[in-house]
Amino acid sequence: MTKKILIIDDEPDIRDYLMAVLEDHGYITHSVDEKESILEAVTTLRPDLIFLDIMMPERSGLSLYRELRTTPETANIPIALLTGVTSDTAYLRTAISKFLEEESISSTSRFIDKPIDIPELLSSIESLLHEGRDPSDVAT
Amino acid sequence: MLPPKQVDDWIKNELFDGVPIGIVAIDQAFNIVYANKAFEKRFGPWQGRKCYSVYRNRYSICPQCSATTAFKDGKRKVNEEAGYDKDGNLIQYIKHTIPIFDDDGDIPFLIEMGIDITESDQIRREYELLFDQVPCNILLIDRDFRIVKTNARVREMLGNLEGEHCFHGLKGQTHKCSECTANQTFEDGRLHTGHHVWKTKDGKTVHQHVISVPLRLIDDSDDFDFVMEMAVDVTQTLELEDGLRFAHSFLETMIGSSMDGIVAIDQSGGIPIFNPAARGLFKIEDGQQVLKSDLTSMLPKGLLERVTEEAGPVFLPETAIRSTDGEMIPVRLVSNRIVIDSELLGTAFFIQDLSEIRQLEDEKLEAERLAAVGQTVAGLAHGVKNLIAAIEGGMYMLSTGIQKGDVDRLKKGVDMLQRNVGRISAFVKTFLDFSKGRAIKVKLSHPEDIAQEVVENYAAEAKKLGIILTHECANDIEPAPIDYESMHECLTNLVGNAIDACRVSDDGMGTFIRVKTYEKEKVILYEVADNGCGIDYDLRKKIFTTFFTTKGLGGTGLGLLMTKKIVQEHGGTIDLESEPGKRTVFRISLPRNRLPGIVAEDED
Repeated sequence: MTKKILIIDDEPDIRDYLMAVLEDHGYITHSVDEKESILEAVTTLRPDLIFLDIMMPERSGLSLYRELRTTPETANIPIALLTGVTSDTAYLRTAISKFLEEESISSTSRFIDKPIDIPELLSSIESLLHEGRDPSDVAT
Repeated sequence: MLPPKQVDDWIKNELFDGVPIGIVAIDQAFNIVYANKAFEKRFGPWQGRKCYSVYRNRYSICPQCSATTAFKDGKRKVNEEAGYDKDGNLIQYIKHTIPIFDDDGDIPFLIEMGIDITESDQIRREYELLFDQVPCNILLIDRDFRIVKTNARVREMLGNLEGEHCFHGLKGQTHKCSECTANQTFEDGRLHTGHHVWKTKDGKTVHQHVISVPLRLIDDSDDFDFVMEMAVDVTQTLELEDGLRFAHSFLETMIGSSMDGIVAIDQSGGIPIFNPAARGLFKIEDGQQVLKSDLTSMLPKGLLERVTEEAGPVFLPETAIRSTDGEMIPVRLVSNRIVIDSELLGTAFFIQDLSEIRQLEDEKLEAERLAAVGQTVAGLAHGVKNLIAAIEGGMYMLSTGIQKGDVDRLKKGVDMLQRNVGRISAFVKTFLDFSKGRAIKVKLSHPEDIAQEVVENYAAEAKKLGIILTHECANDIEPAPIDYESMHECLTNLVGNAIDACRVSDDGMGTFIRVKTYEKEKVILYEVADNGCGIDYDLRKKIFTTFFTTKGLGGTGLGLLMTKKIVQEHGGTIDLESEPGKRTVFRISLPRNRLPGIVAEDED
């Protein structure tokens, strides 16, 4: 069955780009920005995977992440976090992990950096879809 | 040999009453039987009176009566006695007692003769007092250079030296001093002075200024056997002189080597102290003289008058002096009056050059700004990466569009490229502007006006969102040199952020933003407080501490970082107080003395 991926990002160009790449590789895609109701979108679309941007002006990706994980209907959908901050600053990942620990939220499996490396993106999707949600896989 | 007849007659008839010595004859019952005129003159009527009554106003025989003894042993006596004259005055006399023998060998009468020594006795007593009590050392030295007599002071200091050679007793030497002052006097009979060093019993050395004079017993005689040496102890004076010399030299060295300028002006307008550091500070050549008029034009206006008027020191922590080449130099200045025993002697100034400190402060500001820029780079990378991703997206669209022959996709790709390339340019330009450290333009402004304008700008939007936006300001803030536009930008950023925070707040009810402008202890303060505590806002603050907001790239996108930079350029600080879940306050502090352009020259 064709997998459905939901993209949540405030930048229209990023949404369009990701949708084009994923559709070209045989996925069904939908995208929303953070202003819309995420829970509604997820419940309606029932995606197999969610791409979630962290730094968004109207609402931070992390709070959305928390919301998704603490809602039973959406708690088990694999989520990859998109981030534009340079991967040199490891503090970001540590901070996020720490935050999630404090809030007792299971961590995500994947961080995807921008600019996007397409092969890496595709392999991440594959492993996420096959592993399913992996609570013990802490982001590094 | 026999006297001539007239002389003999005079002796017989006149001598008794003519002699200037009191003579009486007393009998065994101590009655005065006969007395001469001199006696009567001295003691008054004597007829029928007892000797002890007349001499001493007594009613009985004197204890140790010399007459009683003379009556018994028939021997002459000489005694020094005291009694009262006819007026009751105490007198002293030397009494000679001579028994008169009759043919049987008995002594019917005694002759008593009294020589008045009252005056000479007084003189003698005075002399003795003087000799011992006078505050100098006195010695009598004979021609053998032996010490015949010393006064009490010498005895206290050196012990009993009578009989010793002076050079031995005073100095512990075995032979005469080469510069012997006494010797000089012995040779020419004149007064001589000298400086000698004696050694006391405890081995201490004392310095004496010695005067030696011949002791002539008869005036105008060339002969004399003794020299009197009078010596004044100058040890302490010498020590004081040494101490003074040391203190003077010490002080001169300190003033000369001080790194701060030290200047003193005396009451007549002269400048006794103008140390090398001061010369360097005011840029005055070494040989050049400095006049009070010069100083008046170089020191801050009105300072000299103020110092002479004020009782205590005048302290100017940050002021400026004008050097001879017209340059204004930032200095710290302390000045004080020089007063001794309520007399004003002059004024002193201590001047510390602050230019280096100023420079260090400027460098620190610059370093902080650069650090902020460095921080920005990391934070901004995010923004850029989004843009780059979008450009890559555009490229992807183009290339896949061409592959698929999908015109819509092609169009989309071109749009993406154009849009994002434009955005990158704008972005880079803004960033470059930021990192350049553009000079701010200050003018005297009312700080509260800026805040008021920003609040008014946001009034409509706040109302629409149901946020209560207020501005509280004090009316008595003095105008200050501020870059109006830049500070406006800062406050706009802060209020804008606050509005975003409130908008996102979960409860959406009763959110407020309080802007406050006030001054405390010469620091101008802006506060922007909001109670918008939306989860996201908190989160953002917790994780991203580089004062960076990602509110789209349409605006400057540098938000808080720019605010921080502008505040720093004003010499101020910005800090953040946050009670998670309750409220947030951004506070801009602008100390007046750090505002740009404040260390200005006197506007004469």
